[in-house]
Amino acid sequence: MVIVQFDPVIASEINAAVHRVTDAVNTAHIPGIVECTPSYHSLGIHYNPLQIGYSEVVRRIREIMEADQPLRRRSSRRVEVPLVYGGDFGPDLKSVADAAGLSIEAVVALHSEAVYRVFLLGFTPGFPYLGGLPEKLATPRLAKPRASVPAGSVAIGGQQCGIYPVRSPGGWNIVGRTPLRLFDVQQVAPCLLSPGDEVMFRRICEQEFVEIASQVGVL
Amino acid sequence: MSELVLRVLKPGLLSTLQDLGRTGYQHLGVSPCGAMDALALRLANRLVGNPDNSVSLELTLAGTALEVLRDCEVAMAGADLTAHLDSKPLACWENCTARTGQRLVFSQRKRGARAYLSIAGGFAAENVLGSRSTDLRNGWGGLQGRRLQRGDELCAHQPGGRESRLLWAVRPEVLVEYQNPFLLRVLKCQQSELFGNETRRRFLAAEFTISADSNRMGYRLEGPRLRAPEQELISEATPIGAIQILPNGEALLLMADRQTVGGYPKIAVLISADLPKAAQLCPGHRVRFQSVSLEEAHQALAKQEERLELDLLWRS
Repeated sequence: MVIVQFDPVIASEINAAVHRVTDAVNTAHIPGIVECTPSYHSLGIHYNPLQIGYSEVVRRIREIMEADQPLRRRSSRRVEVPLVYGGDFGPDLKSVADAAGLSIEAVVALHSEAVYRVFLLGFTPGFPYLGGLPEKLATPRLAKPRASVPAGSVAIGGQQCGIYPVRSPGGWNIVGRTPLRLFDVQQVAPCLLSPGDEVMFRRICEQEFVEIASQVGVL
Repeated sequence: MSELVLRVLKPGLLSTLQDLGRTGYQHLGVSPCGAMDALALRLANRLVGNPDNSVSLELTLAGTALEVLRDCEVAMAGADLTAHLDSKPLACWENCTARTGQRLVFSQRKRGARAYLSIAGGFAAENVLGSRSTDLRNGWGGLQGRRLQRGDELCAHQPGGRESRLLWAVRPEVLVEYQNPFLLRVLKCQQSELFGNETRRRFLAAEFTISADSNRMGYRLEGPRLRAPEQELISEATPIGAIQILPNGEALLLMADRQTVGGYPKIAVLISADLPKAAQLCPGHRVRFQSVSLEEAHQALAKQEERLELDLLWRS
């Protein structure tokens, strides 16, 4: 694997460059390049040394990066994610508010006004690591991870926000739950979100949760 | 078209259906999975005339017992788990015919850790995102995304291609040596630099033992604690064979079911040619690491592939 690394910071511009280069490498269909794994500030390029040499991989990537146009904005979608805050759906909302020294209403307002960016998908299939969390809401991970977090849980881990696509263990602070299905292996495009997408949360009530959930077949 | 071929009488420690893995979806967070020992899987398939990527049964350590439900051609590759077809020993790295009603029993691990049972035509399995490999964490692929259980029945596709029932075996020189302690070759990577010379020297001088707390995701390596770099790293892509050092100094060798990205620093990465050997490690095995150049790594892989092409031997 060759790792292409940009400046070691978690930032939108850097991450946008990572995904631009990823797209360009994928589009080039270079024989021997098996697949790319983009993350925050770097891109892992898996290659088959029987088909392509290391120096050739590096040469092709250099070529692609020299042709990269930083000003060209990668078209990003904005996806609205409906979310029930607190209660049984967000058991850690109160502790996030306490840690921030804010009221629950203030936390919800801050969280739902921000625009987030999908930096990468990982951890479990379709789990989006979202940047753009208001600094005041940054909350340390739980001392003891939960053995099981329900699918759709929206949670805060340090400076980041994430959504658990499937039931899994998890150590982030759960503030709410969305009825949307983030990962469906039966679909041609299994993930609701893609890297580079912008995400906004819209507060809904439990009744609306049930209505949406039955429409998307989660319930 | 597929037909019932085997019934699971005893599943053994961990038996799953695997092919060469799920490539092309790591950017969504989907692990490749697939056979831990891809070389043995390919050889098992070639022994029965299958394409390399056909689905075989990966058996771990011992304890599996299967009942043959229809005459079929099978082959074993990888670990020697003392296989018997009824009372007759079933040689590893050879094909043979199994008859309806016979029992295939794997009683004791002798060498290696993972054996591959292939069947002419290949096992039928659930195709998810272009692969039939079982993904245990996500519960898809293989047979209902899980390990085999008592009473499961396995289907195989109709064999095509080779008509006559020739007997085949693998040339002995291609066999990976499963000699304990194992010597595995590694490359340094960009993050190796973070550890400093002294820690890297200790890593290469040490002997590690595979911990009981190891699985298809990775092996914990018991040995000297190595000093992890203090700076927190931003997560990046993790290749198979990466050796991460945890904050407590413990080493972790990532295998087929690993997560696609990780934030622990990597001190080294196994060369691809030695992944089959690593797949044959089990708890208690001892392992040492030897640093090689990228050229040596690629030559070793090319040589392995060349041998594989020359490898099938007709046995009269």
